Amino acid sequence: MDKLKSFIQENRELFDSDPLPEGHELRFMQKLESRRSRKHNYLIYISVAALLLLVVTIGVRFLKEDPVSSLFYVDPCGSESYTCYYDQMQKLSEQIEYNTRELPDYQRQEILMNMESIMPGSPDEFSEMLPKDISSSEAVRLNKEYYQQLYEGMKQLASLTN
Amino acid sequence: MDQTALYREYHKPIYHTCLRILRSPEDAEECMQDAFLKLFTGGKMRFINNKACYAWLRKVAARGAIDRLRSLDFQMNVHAGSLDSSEVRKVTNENDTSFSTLFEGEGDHQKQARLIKEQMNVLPSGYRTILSLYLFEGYDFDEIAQITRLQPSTVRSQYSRGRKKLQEEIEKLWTN
Repeated sequence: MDKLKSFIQENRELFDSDPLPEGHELRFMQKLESRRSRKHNYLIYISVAALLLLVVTIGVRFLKEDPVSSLFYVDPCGSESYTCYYDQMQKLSEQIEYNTRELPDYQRQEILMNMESIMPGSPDEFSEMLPKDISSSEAVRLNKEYYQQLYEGMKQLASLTN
Repeated sequence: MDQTALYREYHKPIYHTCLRILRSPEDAEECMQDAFLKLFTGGKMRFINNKACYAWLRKVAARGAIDRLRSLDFQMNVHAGSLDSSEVRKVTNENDTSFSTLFEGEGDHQKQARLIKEQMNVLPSGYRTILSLYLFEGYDFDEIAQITRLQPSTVRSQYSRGRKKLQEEIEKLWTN
């Protein structure tokens, strides 16, 4: 056995007896704090940069689209059942019929034909096509999606006649 | 274990690892604290237990101390010629007769330890570093070669020469 090495290992406390410089722990905590705050500052800069990027992206998108209508648009049937969309579509179809009364006949016929192709026959038209084994909540969701899309189409058509 | 508890648990042995290599208490404190800062702010590190964490800290501290030594222009003696491996075995094998004067009889351990420490401190930095890593930290020659970025044969040579020098000085002083 290596005598020197074993002597050192057996009497380790005699070799590791030098006192540490006073206040080392306090100095370490201060160093740790300053290192962390430096890291924290980097995080703040990154967050601000990310926020600015988000604002610019949303701003560009907002300006590209119709800013006023996208700002004030509220879905009239947001929290109601899908039959609400059907009712809204009926109102829009009456408005389209009224607004197109003075248009040249061929143009009016074209708009009305499009309107009829969009307008569902009844508020239950889609429900009847759904499979019987889906849950009622799923049926409500699918109905709402279907009629909402038709309503959006009808709104586009109405905007052409204003 | 939280960071303060970890610091309190291991700062002393890590400090002494640095002190043996650097000799200056101020440099050793910085070297020890740098190792802990790397642990606490260097991203998420997971260790299977505290022993593994301590082993990591010790290696980082030893590397840090060596880098600090080099930057302080304490150049390690990398030009030591390589020795025959049998010569290396002679100083580390079971029939080791070195330090026989120092360790014969019971002796005063405190006095012996003080003498070893003093003579380690006056060794050239290259010898001192390698002897510290081998005798005190328990690394083998390959691990020391990895830590010091020296060739294993150079590490062996330096160890043998350093140990021989240490032995000569100690025995000279002990017999007087």
